[in-house]
Amino acid sequence: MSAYLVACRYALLAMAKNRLAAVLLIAFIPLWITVAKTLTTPKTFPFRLRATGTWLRAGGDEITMISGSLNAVSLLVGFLMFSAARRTRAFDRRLTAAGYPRTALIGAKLTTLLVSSVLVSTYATAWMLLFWSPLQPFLLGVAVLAVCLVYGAMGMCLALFLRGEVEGLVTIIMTSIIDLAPQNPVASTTADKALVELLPSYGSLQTSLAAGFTRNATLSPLLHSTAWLIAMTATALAAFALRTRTHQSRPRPRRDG
Amino acid sequence: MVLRVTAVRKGFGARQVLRGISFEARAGQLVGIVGENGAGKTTLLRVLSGDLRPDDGRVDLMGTRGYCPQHPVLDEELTVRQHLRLFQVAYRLPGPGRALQLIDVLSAAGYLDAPVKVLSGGTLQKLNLVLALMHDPDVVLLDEPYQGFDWETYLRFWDLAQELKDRGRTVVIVSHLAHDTERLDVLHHLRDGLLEPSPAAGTA
Repeated sequence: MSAYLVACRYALLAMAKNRLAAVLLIAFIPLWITVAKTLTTPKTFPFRLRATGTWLRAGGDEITMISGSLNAVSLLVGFLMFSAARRTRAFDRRLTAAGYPRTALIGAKLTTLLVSSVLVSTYATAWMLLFWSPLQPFLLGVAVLAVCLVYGAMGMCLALFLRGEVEGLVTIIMTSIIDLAPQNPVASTTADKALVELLPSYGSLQTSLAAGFTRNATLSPLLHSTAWLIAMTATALAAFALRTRTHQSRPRPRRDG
Repeated sequence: MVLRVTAVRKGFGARQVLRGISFEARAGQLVGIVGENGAGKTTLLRVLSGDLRPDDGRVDLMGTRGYCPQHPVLDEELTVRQHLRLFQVAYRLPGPGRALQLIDVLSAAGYLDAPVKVLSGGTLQKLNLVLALMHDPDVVLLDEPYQGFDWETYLRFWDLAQELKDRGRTVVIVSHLAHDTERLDVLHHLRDGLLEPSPAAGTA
């Protein structure tokens, strides 16, 4: 327990020192939400909510704000987790070789993912609520949290094979754009194609739209998010377990003072 | 024997780096391994530390080991003290006593609360070394341990090595420079993936 608490405390402290992420959190998220809400058209668009099959009408500004927020938080948490995983890659190996319990380090990584996702999603949801009153604000928060978790786990996976911080950041940005753009009911007519269900943010966008414009507690799209989260977390943790193996023949005790 | 290395081979792709390394080290011995750049010294030490699996051969080590890698492997966002705390947990030590003592011997006590990313190369190396020694291991594996040290610290390093030897610890030092060999009990030259014992070594 103590090993977990120490690892957790230091992982969170180190993450809090990520200045670029702090700037993105404080400035970028509110800016994106403000721009999306104030500069895009409030004209309403009809669209079919794929998760329930129902037709809805919603303002273009609100839809863009939802999509923009998911985009911003996914970049931020993805970058945070990528950055942390990249930084500690070699160090974790040394620590575990010295005897640090791997379960404690894994626990600390999962806690960091959860804490950063909860913080960022709460902050972003609070900013959205300043501009807009969704029908189900709590469900909206859950949807934003889901995309944070998915992209955070993705950041951990990307750190397995991308070396530089810039490479990671660019890859996360591109992924998030490619992920969200085809799903936006305002910007794209492909939003209704079955393939969009495979995208990482599908669950969050569908749930956000349902939370914003319906009174149905539509949770089934979140199963998609859960599948993405499990797959990517399992990949990152399996790679961690493989990387931190040591090849020592079991040391024979010798202690004579 | 505290450390017995038998016919260790290691290659990367088609390149055979270690081609059958064998040597032994007793308690209280200072063993040096020198070789040119790229001779495979770091590969050998990584095999001894358990970081790499040999393709063939075996490493038998009795007791605990401490490994100081060639390049400091640290978390740049944490302070020196936080590193000591993490390794205290890793080695299951009751307190940071010996680590603080070592930090003091190496004149790094002034940097305890500094984040690693602002430290000079020499100070990073001091921490790198302390993390390998703080649990007082039976076998100490040091890869170019004094790089970046100023003269004073370099001399203190050798005092420290002598003190470990006097207390019956086995110290294996890898270096590309064969100076100060008179301080060693055994000196091996690593050439073409094989070890050659050197007659220049001190009293074994």
